[in-house]
Amino acid sequence: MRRVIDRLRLGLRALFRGDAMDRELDEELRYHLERQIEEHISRGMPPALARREALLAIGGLDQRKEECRDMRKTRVLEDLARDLRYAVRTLRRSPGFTAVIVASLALGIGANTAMFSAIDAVMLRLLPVRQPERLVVLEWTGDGVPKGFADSLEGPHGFIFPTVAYEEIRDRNDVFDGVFAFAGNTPAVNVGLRGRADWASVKGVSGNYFDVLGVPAAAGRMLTPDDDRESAALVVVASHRFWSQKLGEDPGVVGSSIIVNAAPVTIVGVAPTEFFGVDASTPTDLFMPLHAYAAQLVAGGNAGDVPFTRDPQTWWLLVGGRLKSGVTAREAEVRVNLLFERSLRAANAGAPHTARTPPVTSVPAGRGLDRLRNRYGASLLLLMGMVGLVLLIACANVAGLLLARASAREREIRIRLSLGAGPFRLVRQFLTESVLLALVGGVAGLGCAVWIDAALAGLLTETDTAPVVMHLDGRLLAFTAAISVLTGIGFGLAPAIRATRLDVRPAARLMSRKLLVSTQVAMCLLLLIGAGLLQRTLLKLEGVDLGFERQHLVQFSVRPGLNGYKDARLIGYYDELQRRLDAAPLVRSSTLSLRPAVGGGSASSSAIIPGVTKVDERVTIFRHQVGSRYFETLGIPTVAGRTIGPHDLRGAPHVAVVNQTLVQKYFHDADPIGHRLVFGSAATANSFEIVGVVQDVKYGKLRGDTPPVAYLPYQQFLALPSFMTFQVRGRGTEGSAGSLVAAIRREALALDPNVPVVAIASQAEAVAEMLTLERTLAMLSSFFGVIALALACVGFYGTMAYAVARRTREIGVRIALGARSRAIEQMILRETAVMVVVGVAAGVPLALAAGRLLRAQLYGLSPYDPATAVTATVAVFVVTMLAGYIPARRASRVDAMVALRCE
Amino acid sequence: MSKPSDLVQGTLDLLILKIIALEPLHGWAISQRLKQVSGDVLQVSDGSLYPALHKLEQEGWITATWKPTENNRRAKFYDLTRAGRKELERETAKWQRLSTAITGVVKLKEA
Repeated sequence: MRRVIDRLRLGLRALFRGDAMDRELDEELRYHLERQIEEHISRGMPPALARREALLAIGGLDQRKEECRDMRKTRVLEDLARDLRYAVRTLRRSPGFTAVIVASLALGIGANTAMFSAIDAVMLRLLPVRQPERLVVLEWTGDGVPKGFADSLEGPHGFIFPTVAYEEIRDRNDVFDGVFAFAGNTPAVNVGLRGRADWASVKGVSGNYFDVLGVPAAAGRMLTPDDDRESAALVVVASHRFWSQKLGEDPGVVGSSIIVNAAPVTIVGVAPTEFFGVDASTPTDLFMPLHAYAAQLVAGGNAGDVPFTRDPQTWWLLVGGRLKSGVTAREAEVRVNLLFERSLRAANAGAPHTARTPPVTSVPAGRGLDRLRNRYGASLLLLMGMVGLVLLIACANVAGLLLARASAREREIRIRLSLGAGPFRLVRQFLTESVLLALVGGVAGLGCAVWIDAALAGLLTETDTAPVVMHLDGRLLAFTAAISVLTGIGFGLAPAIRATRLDVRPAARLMSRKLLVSTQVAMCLLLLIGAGLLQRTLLKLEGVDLGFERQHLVQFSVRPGLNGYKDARLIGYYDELQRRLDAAPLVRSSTLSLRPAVGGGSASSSAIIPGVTKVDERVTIFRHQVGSRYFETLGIPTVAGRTIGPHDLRGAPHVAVVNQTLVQKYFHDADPIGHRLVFGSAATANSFEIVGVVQDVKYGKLRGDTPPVAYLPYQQFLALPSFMTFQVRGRGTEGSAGSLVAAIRREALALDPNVPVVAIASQAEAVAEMLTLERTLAMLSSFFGVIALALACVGFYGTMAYAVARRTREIGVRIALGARSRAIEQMILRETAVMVVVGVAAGVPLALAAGRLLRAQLYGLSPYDPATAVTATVAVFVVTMLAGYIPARRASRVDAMVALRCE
Repeated sequence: MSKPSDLVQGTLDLLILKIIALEPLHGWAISQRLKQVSGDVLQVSDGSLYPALHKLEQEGWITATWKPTENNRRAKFYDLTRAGRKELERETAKWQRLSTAITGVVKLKEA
């Protein structure tokens, strides 16, 4: 122990009192010398000889001192401190040089840090729950599932289960510490907030949801199993977002009641800020117990007559659990499969259970469900690659600058080497300098990151959805520090080694700088071509032909069903709203449909077409449930027959209008009018006579071809829709869409002030919103491309300026011998051009190869789009030549006399 | 570092520790004592003594204090620590093993 303390004391002394220790060493050795000299003299040696003898015996005082210092354990640290002090002094002596490097690195490191934080938030971060690594959700897979059912969902796998399965697994397993469930959908409800009509998204969750997850209340309390019973009092927990945005962060709302779909519900608590549910990509406003949630769906006319909690046939719940410690996922799955099978058999007692029970697997849910990851993962990785390139360009810049400076410091290095400094020691000194630079760049980069993060949050938070939180924390700082140090070593090592090998001819050094610059051009081109492709994709998608006119078209949604409108009253509401809108002076025409023409998702059913489809063959038909004057209002031309009108009521004969793709695909261009489309099974057949054919328009999404679509009168397909999208075509006379929007709101609220107008937007805005991802990608990649170009310019300018400075004498001689300044200019520019051409020659094939990675993001153009490649190349060429022109011009203005005298 | 060529590697440490174990001494006195006791057989150069002292100090086997000398000047006196005493025992045992072994080899008669 004593020894440890002794050594620690020595170490600390060496670090902080190094000077004192050196003085002591000096004194110690001097004492020795003096005694030795006295000794020699006492033996009769002349003093001068005595001194010489003593010194010889010790053999070089300074070497001995250095050896003694080397014995100190803290030598490395001492040297580091000295190197750091030296580096700070050197950098402060050339502030311009330092500023350029720090700025380059700040942009490079900042962009990387920002991207990392986004990727961290979306892809890596664990849910803010207790022991997230033991959390799983169940997924069934396989083809034993009734086929039509699987098709209508998410393909041959799914996350949703019927209530019976959840209850069986919850109550009879011995592998989980708690099993919870939550509804797959997050529907909107109408809420009354202090007398104001508004809406909220609601998540049905089991009573033990928060308890099993281990999520504590931020205010009030969370839900309990007692809340989740058939006749329990109606309660909800508000998400933190809802609480802060709609309830004004008022702690007093806990215990107060709000109106949810016309029923009073008590807010019992608020969820913590960082908790958005297990399915974090779907924003949730209110967490409601499953029983209340199911009852609310029935009351709102969205779920037939039997609540899902009592219906063994409806698959609607995601089931999650916390694995008991010591239980593996595999063991849990075995148990779950038995229970699942048993629950389904019990539920189907009586009815023949033909289909095989699909096997269930457990999926780790510690990072939440991966919808957000799927949606943005590829884009984020793409951007990460781009910022990686930006950082490389920045590094190349810095390496170039350091190389240039190393040659400027040649004299200093020569002196130090000849004084006995080891090359390794010098390399370490240079590395200290570059790492210091990189760390300063990293700190500045954090500032940049905050700024870039704000832009990224825009990407990940479409309008009011996708709650992605990004914050500067230990991981982020660790990441930034790591890339700073790595880049510091990366860009510093080559120049440092170069600097200490003095045999390298300066010409070779200039050559390597030129290669660096060409590399920058290549990488820059790669980025710009990528950005250009994304930008052009965005333009193509924005200008995509929807198939109908989007001018003066405004759409909005209403959900009167949630306010208790049913049957005839519901139809009455829709009719009346349409009548009022049509009567408004700014409106040319209005119509309604279950979903908006684009951007509202899709719905499909399998159907048979008697006389066309083979026996047992079913075809997939996409549906649009529409009201009268749909085609007239949107301006979709009729090809044959009639459209859907006000007389196509619920009781009237069922009719359908189909699009041209359907006719081509199933009728092979024969006349379809008079044929029938039969949806549903034989027992529940729902038959529609085709009465008209219309031109194709985009369906659901902007990308891809139009699928076969059947337009059905909204009153005639199954249950009456309790919500509806209205599309209103303005006259376009009053000019602004704003006044049309105001008029629409006025009419809707005059009809019923308790039915809120939701998501009102012009068609152009709606399309723009569908393209948020594409726009942000295009924006950010262009932004990174411009940064890259700017960095490359700095590198270019620096290299050329350096080249010109080195050749001042040569240029002076040329001018003195009669060279025209124009010729000098051209000579320098020619050199610049060579570097650019080399860079372009390397960059274009590279970009073409990398373009394949972009294919999935592109629309309407190939990754090898020549126009993009040419534009990017021209841009790089022009900008870099400009950067090279300034030094060239300066070279041509060299005064021969001054130049010749300067050496 | 200049090595005392006549000295078996590592034995300098042992010698220093042993000499200091008798009484605390300063560097010059140690060098004198070395020459004295070995009858000038072990020529330890003054140059290699000090780095060795500093190394032993870093290891925590000896400590140094500034004290007045016999002729009333200030010098750095080295003393053995408890750990140093143990190290000395270890090194001594090691040396004895080694020298016994070498003696044995050297005494082998040629056939």
